[in-house]
Amino acid sequence: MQTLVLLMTLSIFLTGCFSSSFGPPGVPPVTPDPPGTPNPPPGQVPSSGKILGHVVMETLYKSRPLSASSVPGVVVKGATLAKPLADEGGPDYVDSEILARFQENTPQEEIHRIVESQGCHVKQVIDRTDIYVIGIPEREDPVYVAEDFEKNPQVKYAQPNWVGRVTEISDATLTLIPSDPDLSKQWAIEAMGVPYAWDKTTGSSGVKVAVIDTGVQVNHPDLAANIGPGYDFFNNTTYVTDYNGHGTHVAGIIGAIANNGRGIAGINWNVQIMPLKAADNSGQGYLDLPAIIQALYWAADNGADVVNMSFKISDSAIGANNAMDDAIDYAYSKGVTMVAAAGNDGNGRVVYPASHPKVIAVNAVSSDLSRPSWSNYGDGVDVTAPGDLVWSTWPGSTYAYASGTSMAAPQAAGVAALLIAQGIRGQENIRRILQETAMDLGAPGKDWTFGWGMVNAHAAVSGALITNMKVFAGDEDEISITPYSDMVNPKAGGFFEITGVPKGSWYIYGWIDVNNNGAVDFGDYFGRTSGKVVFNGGTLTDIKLLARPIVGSDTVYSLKLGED
Amino acid sequence: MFFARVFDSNKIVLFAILILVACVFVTGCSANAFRNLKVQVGASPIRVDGRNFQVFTVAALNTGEESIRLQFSSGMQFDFVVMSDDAEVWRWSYDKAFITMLTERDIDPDELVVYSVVWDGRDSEGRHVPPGEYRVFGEIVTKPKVTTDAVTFHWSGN
Repeated sequence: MQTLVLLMTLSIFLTGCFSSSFGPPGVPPVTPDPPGTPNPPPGQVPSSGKILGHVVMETLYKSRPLSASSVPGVVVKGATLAKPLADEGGPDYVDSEILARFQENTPQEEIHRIVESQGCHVKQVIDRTDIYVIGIPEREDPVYVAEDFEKNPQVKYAQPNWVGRVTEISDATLTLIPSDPDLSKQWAIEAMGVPYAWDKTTGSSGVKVAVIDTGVQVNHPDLAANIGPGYDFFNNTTYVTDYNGHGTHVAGIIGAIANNGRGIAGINWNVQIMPLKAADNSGQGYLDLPAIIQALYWAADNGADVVNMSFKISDSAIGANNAMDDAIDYAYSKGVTMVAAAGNDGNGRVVYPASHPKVIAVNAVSSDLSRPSWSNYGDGVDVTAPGDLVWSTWPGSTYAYASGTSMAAPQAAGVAALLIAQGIRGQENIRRILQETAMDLGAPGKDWTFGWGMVNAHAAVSGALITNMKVFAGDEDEISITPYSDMVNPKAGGFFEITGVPKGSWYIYGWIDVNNNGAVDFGDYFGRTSGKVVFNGGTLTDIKLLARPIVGSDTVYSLKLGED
Repeated sequence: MFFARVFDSNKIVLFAILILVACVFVTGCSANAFRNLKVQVGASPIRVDGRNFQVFTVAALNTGEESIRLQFSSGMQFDFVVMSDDAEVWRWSYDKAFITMLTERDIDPDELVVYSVVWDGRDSEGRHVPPGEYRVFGEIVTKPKVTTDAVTFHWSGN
């Protein structure tokens, strides 16, 4: 088993401005470039070809999380253009100290002896690491002192304490774990990375999500506080009693009250559910089409941001739905994001209204991330979401499992509501975010089975679009990753073509610098090929890359990093 | 010897035959799933406040000794279709939407399940149909779909 130990240090060094190519070809540096050493100007590094492949952004569901003990918290040199280095004119490193790491099992006494033999002293050991901050004599150059240290075989490495701009991650907070006891039954929450999304937002009561359905138990104790005004368009009353259960289930997925010590957690802890009933009181599972149309107009006129439509309109009526088409067009013109279920017929045709181009179509995925045999599929699917055995609220102030694309659509609608809570507007913008942050399942890129992939709430609210990923060929030492190729962005679906790749052996990296701090750290999406790719020029294809989120609560500098 | 030679020289053909047999078996099993479910459609006129209506009913009786589980891919469990000659005049599901949640219904031995709807004599476009002879059949929209025979009824008009 290959073992790679990477260290993140207190300081972050950035030795040059952003360039599309770095370092001499084929000769990865083993130590950081000295400060002030310019990167080769673009165009002067001979490039030999390109590498093609596909990258998948995963949630942490069913995969080993990149936790604090395994994060490759390294700096990508020169990767950030937007932020300046240290104050102009000042030193690029702390002039009174260096950082050093010693071989494992080196006794403390021996470390102190080595340090003092250089005329230095131990200032501190960085918390939760074995990185020593070593004070050096005045007027000594840290670069040379570090070089002297590295001559000792007991010293794993030593380096100046480069002045960086980032010493902590301001947006890496503890993942919010709500107190709802049934959270463990909600596999959908974990699958879509929702708890990590909650670090960014738990929704807003200012966001209105209309649920056109069989009604909602508005006084359900796990829903009541998140229920806004609604209407029963079949019976013409403000009472929206749910005699079926479907609407209550859908509402809970979107916005069951969270962290209340009861039941489940909705995707939105705070939201305003707009219950719009379009069913009679028989409790049967059918809705009235004219009532649906009225409800859609009403939603649009009453400020709904999102409308969830977990129903299909009868096959026989498809093609004769001008009135429904008009209602969809109207709601769209009002800025409403419409999400609908793809259907449960197990065939390759998305049902109406999900098939309408202005509606986001969602089919279902099971907890093993396969398509349930009953879930529809096809070119019309935008994204997939958990729809099998979903636990949610049910009339009688209870809870129940239910399956269907009915349960998948509100997952996507719920995440859309989180996006809107963050100030994101525009239906097509939201659709694009859902698509380009999705966890690609099945065939690479968009496919008939899963559309663009499973909704990834964490990536969506983090703005971690796959098209923003930096993909490059490079190499790394224990501190830094050095790109040796152009940095390119994958196309939607994750297909990339790295250009300017010199001959040599390279890791292929994929990285979204979510917090834009130039370091691979908490909150980012990061992936690297497990081994080096031997590139002899020309074109290399079929490189597969997985990028996963780095999560946790620690600050960058305190990380000790390793990967098996 | 003959079979041995066939086996040796025609493995592909044999394999294909096995697949075919398997398919027939599976299809047969599927078809047999509801062999004890007897379905019948009925049409009954009713006049209320001077207006004519037709009540359609699908009745499904479990004649077997074991419970039958009907699984539905949506909230649509049944449908009714009115025909005039070979032309479809009205379909109950035409102006409806159905929740896209999987549902089930168990029918116990000797249990009779009934689905009923009312027809007011309008076609799917909402136009009154002329008096005359019509046929109606019902469907239970499980997998595989169970369809009744059609019965003829007289529509007196409104």
